[in-house]
Amino acid sequence: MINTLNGWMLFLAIMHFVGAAFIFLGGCFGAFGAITLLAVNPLWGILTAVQMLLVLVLGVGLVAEGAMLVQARSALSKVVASDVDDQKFLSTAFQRLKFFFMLELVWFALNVFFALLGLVTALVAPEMAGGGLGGLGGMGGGAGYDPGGSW
Amino acid sequence: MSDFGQGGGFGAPPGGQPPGGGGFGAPPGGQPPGGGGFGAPPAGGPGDGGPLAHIPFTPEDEANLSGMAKFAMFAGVAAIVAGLIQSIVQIIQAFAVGSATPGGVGGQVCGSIIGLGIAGLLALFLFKASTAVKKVVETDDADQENLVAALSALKAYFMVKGILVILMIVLFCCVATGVMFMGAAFASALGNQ
Repeated sequence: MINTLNGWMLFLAIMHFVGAAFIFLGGCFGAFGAITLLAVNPLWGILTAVQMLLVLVLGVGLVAEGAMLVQARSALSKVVASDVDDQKFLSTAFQRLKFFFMLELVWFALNVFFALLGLVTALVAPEMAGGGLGGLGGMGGGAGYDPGGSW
Repeated sequence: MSDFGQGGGFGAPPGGQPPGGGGFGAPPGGQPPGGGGFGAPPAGGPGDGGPLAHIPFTPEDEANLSGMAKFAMFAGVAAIVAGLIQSIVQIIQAFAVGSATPGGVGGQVCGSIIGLGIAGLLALFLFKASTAVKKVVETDDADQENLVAALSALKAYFMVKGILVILMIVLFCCVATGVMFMGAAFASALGNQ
């Protein structure tokens, strides 16, 4: 059972790292765009730069979650593989999972924020929400999946 | 079912050995007179391969376990709250701009219900894991069974999330392939004109 748990944790950790890599890539391209935009329209350039910074923070969050999963998996593997200090390894695994769930709370909060943002957009400017629902609805909607792993 | 019970398992606790009793594994540094250990297990000691009734954790370890249980519970509650708010928002959006969305109102409502169901399922596993870990810390009658229950619930939680990720990747690949084919067909049609 622990081996199966470890397998799924490793898979999710890899997915977190891959997602973070895409986010960093997008953030870097966006940052170049922001720099070129600064010359044309400073206000939009600054806003885009701030947006890209937030995207990079999201990427860091994903990497942190993945790292917690890898460390928890490593500790659980030692519980199975060795016969000494099992309590210590279990404690380490649960500590890492605690940090993982703390980060999950942040993702859930972001989900709620984007859902409410989508609601406000839909009520205030329905035509905008209709056109851009793939973005707002996807992030806030129940059927949308964000890289952080929360639905 | 469990990986516990294979091999020695839980070793000596810190803080010395009380006199008398059975014991879980060989304590380091030799046996004190009268035998080391943690008192006689109430039923099914490690010697006969049964589950451990009490797993000795240090206060620091117990704090880690309690903290994880607390945050797993918070995450479960947050999952339900987030799922509920998202569903409500999506249903309102569906009725506000339903005609403009590709799936229409029905698709949006179905999507929100499915999302809520998945959030509920994830929260259920988190609650199970949290409750089991709390029992490990607070009680001393079936620690190993509770630990197995906690790890089992965590396995189910991560498995559901993993399956969702796989589904999203498959969906993304299907959409990307569809867009490429449609784009190619569109470009071909434009080229023929």
